[in-house]
Amino acid sequence: MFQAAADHEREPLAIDMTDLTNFLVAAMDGLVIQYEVTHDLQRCQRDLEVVIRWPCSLPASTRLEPWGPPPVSTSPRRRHSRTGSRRDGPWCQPTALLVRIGWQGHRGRVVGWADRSEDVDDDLDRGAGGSVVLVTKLGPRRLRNGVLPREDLQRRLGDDPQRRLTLVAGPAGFGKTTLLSAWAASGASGSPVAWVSLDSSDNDTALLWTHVIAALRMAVPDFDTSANPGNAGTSPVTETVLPRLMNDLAGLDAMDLVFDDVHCITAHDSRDSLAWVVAHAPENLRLVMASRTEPRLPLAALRARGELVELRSDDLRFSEQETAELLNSQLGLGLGADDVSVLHERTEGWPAGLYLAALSLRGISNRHEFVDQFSASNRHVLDYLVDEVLSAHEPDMQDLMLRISILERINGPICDALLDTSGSAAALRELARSNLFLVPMDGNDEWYRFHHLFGQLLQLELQRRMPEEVPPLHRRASDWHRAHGTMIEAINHAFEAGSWAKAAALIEGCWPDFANAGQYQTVLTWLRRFPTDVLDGDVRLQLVEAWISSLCARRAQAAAVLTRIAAMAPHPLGRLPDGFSSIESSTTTLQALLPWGDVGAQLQHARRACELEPPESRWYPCVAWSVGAGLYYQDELEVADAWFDDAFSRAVVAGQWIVATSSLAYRSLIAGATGRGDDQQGLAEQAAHMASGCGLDDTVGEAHSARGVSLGARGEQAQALPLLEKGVDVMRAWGQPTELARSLLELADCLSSLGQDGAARSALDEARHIIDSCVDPGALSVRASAIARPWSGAADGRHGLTEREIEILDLMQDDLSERDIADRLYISFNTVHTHVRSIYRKLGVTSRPQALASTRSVGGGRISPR
Amino acid sequence: MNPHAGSGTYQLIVRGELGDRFAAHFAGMRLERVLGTTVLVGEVMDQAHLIGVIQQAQELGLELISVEQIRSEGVEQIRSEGLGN
Repeated sequence: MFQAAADHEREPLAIDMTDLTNFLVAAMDGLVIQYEVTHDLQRCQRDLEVVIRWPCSLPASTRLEPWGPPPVSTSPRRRHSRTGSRRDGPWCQPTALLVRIGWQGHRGRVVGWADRSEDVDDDLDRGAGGSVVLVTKLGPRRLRNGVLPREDLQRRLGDDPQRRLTLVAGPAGFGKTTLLSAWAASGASGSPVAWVSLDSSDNDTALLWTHVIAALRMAVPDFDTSANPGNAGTSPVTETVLPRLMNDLAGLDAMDLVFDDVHCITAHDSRDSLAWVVAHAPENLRLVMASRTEPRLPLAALRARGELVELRSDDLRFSEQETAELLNSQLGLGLGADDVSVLHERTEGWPAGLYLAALSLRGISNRHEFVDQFSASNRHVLDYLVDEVLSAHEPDMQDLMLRISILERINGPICDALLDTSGSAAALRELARSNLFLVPMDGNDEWYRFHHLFGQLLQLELQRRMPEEVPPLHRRASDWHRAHGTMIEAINHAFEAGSWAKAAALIEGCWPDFANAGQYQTVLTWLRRFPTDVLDGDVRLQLVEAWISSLCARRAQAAAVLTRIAAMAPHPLGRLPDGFSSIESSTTTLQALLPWGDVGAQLQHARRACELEPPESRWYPCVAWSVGAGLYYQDELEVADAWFDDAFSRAVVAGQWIVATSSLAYRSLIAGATGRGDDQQGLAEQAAHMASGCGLDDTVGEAHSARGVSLGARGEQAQALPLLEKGVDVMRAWGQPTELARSLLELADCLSSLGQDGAARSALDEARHIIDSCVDPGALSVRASAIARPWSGAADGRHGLTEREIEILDLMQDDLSERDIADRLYISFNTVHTHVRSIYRKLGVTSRPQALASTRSVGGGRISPR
Repeated sequence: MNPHAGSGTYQLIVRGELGDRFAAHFAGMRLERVLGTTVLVGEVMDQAHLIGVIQQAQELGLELISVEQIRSEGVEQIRSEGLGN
């Protein structure tokens, strides 16, 4: 969230994004930047002018538009900024500006944002964190000169209309990526080609599918999907995100989806998600995978059905003819037929080997001699040739190549940082021109990377020549990435440098961004990379683990970590990099937010967290929400409402949409319970609008529940039912017992009103079971008993029975006499008798057997208060 | 399963003779160039470690000819017996 100056006059809202990671912005054509001004809820109409400053010129194809109601006018102003203005809707008082960056055609899904608020210290690491999509992973590689088109192979790729999966499998250096890039660029398939280059970070399933969806949007600009991997929460993607994505893809025109480097996917969840897509992809989606190893997919089944097209290393080897074409026609080396033959044999047609040989040959006058010596040597092709290629460059250039070989992605500025110099951008361009192994990654000549094999060899040589330089290089790379907000790489380099403290500090600062994007796995993988003694001894890292495992609903793990943290007391005081005012504040807030069925403890922790976390803190909205929730589940509804209201306002300012949406939903439920029907409806609709606008449909279950309850209160039970069911599903994945029980009770109420007594009974039973297992379920048990019993024949299931009457009726089911009941409830016999007559009257019966019959007809099992 | 299964001295043979710089890549393994191949010998803790070494070879696009557990005589034994098929 960028905080704008809170001007109430007609001054433009100015936002400075000049230090946003410019690779994200500059690398893409067709960017859409959407902004929305959020306000508090007062009605007024105003013109609002918005000025956003960017770090560089945006491509001309970039659109700047408001997210939400259409703009009044949009016009580019200066070269380095864009302006838009809009007439405001129902809200007026601007309090914050949210800027979202996305791709043409999508509707304001948050692809990346930088989270900044004015009252946070500068030394806190608040980069763009987990929600950044690396555009350099999307789209095929740009083709260089001197690349063989290999049309016969390309034809095989596109040939078979039956194909569902095309697999290109072979070790490194067999030209898989080049072949597929050429095929994609040639348009031979006749359909748009979406492309994702996978790497180890895609073992986080949320990140993997975020990139895939971005790739699909890049290939098909009109494509949009409601699937949002970042907000799937704890549910597996194969149940939430992927079915939705496949549905949105079905019915479109044919398209190809390429996954490059599939061998990088080793984690179960990500692998399973790929296998699921192979099995469930619609007809029009053709999948292509390139991998160094055999991917763990049901290939045999596809083969048997004739739906698999395979190219393997023997297919990918260059023939002697292709070798001649490459070396002589493409690269103009003018070799004799014998020399070509020798080279072909020596390298066995291995493309990487041939390219390396070609590189070496370029700078040599006596090529025949080179070929002779090369063929006579027993050395491994790679080993031999890399030496040749390196030594063909000036020492300065060699130094540069070796040092930057540690980088996954290379550009001028990071190069400068590593070498402590300037002007590297020019050197890179020069190097890329002559060296086929420095590959451009984008269309702007800005980002490059080494071909994997070449980079590996360079790193080995670096290790051999100057081993003491390696950790400092990684540290500098880490610092550069940290300054530019690409935290994953910053942290990876810190690990490679062996700088545990640096890695820990980075993780402790940026983990909330990754958690917000649902990328829990990324954080957990980092934690596993620390040596055990480092991890166990660092209380702040333990805190990160406690938070992430709690958010993943790994209850036992979280509890174990919290115990460990408690054992490390007394804790050092002082503010944490993630914004908490202290360790105690962090653990207290965590336990207030996720109480695992203990409402009393929730309220206690929440109140304590209020004392520890100041209102200006980014975590305060969560704290306020927790107080509200604790009070709500103890049935102190009026007070809870005030807390939720406060939580909402602060959450909006801080851009914490989950807290904001949830607060609105709870306020709606409270309004319904306190008889304010109009407020209930209005708040429920706002909550639903916010949830869908922020892609939170699979995260904030209470938004659906609140709308369902609101519809139910107006008698529209049939419409309410799917919403309430959805609310239950989301809450089940979230795992918090109190919230799940609440949503089950709401569902049961609706089901019994609809006469679906069996389903109502089982929802009620499940709720009861959960409530019984809660340490302190607060007011939920009373609420459970107040849910209208599924009486048969009643149109809306309500007979106006009071709570006391219900209690008595239950005891009657146990065959207690009226006197026994009076004893049991500590009331007088006369009182019981009066109640019983009232019960008969309301049920329209005249005797106990009749009263009991009308309850038993729904299929047994009694409902009793605790 | 025996907790020490897969541990012991292992030998991997890859095609092509590799220079000494590769020793850094296969940390913990001894490198010897023998008749157009490279023999890597070293102590392997367990199966996971062994798979890791195989993956290291794969990363460099090396062609694996054989992987086997050997007696502690190591490379000398191989030399005297001659390289197998």
